Amino acid sequence: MLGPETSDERLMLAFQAGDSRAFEALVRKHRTPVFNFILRFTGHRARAEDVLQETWLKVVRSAGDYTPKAKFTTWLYTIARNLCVDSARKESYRQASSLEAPAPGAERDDSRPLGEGLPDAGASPERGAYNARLRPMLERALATLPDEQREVFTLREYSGIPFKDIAEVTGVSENTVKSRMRYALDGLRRRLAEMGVDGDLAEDGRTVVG
Amino acid sequence: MKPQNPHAQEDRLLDFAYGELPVPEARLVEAHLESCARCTQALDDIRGVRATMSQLSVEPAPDAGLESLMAYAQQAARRAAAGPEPKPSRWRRWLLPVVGLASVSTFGLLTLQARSPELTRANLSAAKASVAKEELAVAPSADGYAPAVAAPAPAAAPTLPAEGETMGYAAREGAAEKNSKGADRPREQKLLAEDWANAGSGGGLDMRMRRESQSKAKLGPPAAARFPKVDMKAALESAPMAGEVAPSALDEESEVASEAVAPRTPPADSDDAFDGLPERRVADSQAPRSVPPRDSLRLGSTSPAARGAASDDEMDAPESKDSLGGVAAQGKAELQRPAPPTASKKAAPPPPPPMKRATATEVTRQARAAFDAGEGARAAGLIRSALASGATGQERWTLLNQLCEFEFALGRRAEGIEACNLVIHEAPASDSARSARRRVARESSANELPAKPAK
Repeated sequence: MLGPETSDERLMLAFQAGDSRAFEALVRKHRTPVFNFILRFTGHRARAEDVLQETWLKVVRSAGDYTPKAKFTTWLYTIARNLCVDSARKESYRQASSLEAPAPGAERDDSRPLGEGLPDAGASPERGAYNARLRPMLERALATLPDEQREVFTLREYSGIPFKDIAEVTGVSENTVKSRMRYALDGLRRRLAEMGVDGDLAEDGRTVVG
Repeated sequence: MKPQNPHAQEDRLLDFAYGELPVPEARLVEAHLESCARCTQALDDIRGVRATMSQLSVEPAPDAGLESLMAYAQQAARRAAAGPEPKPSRWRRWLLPVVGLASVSTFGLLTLQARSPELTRANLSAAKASVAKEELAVAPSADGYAPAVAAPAPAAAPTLPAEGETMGYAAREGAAEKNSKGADRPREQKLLAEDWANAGSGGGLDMRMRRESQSKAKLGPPAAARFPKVDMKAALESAPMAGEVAPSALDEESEVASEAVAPRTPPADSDDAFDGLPERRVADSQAPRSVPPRDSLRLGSTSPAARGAASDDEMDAPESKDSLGGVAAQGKAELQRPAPPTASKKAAPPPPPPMKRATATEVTRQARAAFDAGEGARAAGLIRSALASGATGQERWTLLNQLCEFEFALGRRAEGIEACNLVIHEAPASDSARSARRRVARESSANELPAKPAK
């Protein structure tokens, strides 16, 4: 009944009807893209892991509310995004109350803001060395974007959510989404140029997408 | 291709760059790009950033929490697969507390009764105006409770099984089943059977709770009608586990309920001297006739079952329940069925009808005469009848003492001990008690059977 081509929506309905394997299939398929969205959006690994878990738990709890009228991914990312926003709000309270003076050792290595020099265990040594230098810069560039731009860019770029669905997830019009996307792209381009990561590097990356 | 907003062209480029344009439109954009340097540049910028940012490798999602998540999902799926069954679960949710409270309250009430027979005796005189049957039903000890509880329990009556005490637990249950009406009764039964083990044998507040719940009118009429039924059944079910408590709990409830529902017929109206007995009325109106009504001795006395329930009651005799039940059935059978006096054991001549209010001395005299005439069983029956008709105080103790003597003389030791113990317990300082104590001591030494068997 549940083949590899089974749509997310049908999987979700199957889970509603009591098939836990359908849920497993959904998790298998979506947890990595969802995690990457959360990770880029929150910018903290530890918080991202928490939000990821919360997201799936909420999917289970809210399964009864799901109707196939909504695209599953839209529904899923709406949940994840709202939890990210909540988490960010809590985090800002926390930081405000601690007067932006993080207690030494209070945060794990993992929970450092992305872009502050995480070593990378890349595939090949050259690639690894290249990534070790590049990745923190990319993360930092992304982190400098305003939240609303970063979330649009992340959803589109790393999670593959179409603009129309991003509009639904973020609760704004599609035009606004695209506008934010343009700002995000412009901002990134400028930031990358400032860092010395420019078009040359992009050509080096040889991953031009059409 | 008409731009609908100032950035329509750029938006279209975005769609194109991310592959969101349908093929025909994508072709058009490609065609446009060939002739538009500005758009080509914009597209290059987009692609450049994308190419760079795509170097940010995909992070694998952590496995932490995955197992617990799946377990949680499986649990939820099982619930979902089980389908929505709100009714039974709600039913179950309150059934358990109700059963628990019912047994606790029953136990508590009976303990109270057993420990303070004097407490409620005063009420008896006040309630004397009410017909003798009422006294019979619960007098003297439970009398004070009867009116208070009777009111909220009307709905219980129709389902009351009027089994006698001689009926075993299984028989009772069977009767309850027989009496049960409606499709859901068997399930209730099952639920009760299941839940009973969890309910515990204590649980005292069923009366209070019933009163509360009914006064608050939380339950709709159908629910309210079923509620007491459950209590009844709870009492029934509790019989084996609560030991001696349960039968009397059942009695209390059924009496009380029947009081509330059955029309009050003054004893004078009936040609049967015992028609006034509440349990008899229940039997008349609802229960199969073949079921013997309950024991009269128990009714006239502090309930032996209640005494059994009071665990600190040193007068308690383990066999009292059985023996009493047996006696009761016998006595009742004798009284009900006028049989030719066969001088032997069970069949005895009918008692004189207007015996209800005969004085203790009168009854004693008659009984003595019968006894002397060799009709010991009839003599005992007479005394039981007198006790059942509501003799109290000294009268009662004299009668009990007499009964004790007769029972011993008849060789029914258990009954004798029972009667003696009642006197000893109720009026330890009285002459009757002293006499009874002597007799018990004598009998037990003669038969090497302790008057107060170890519990």
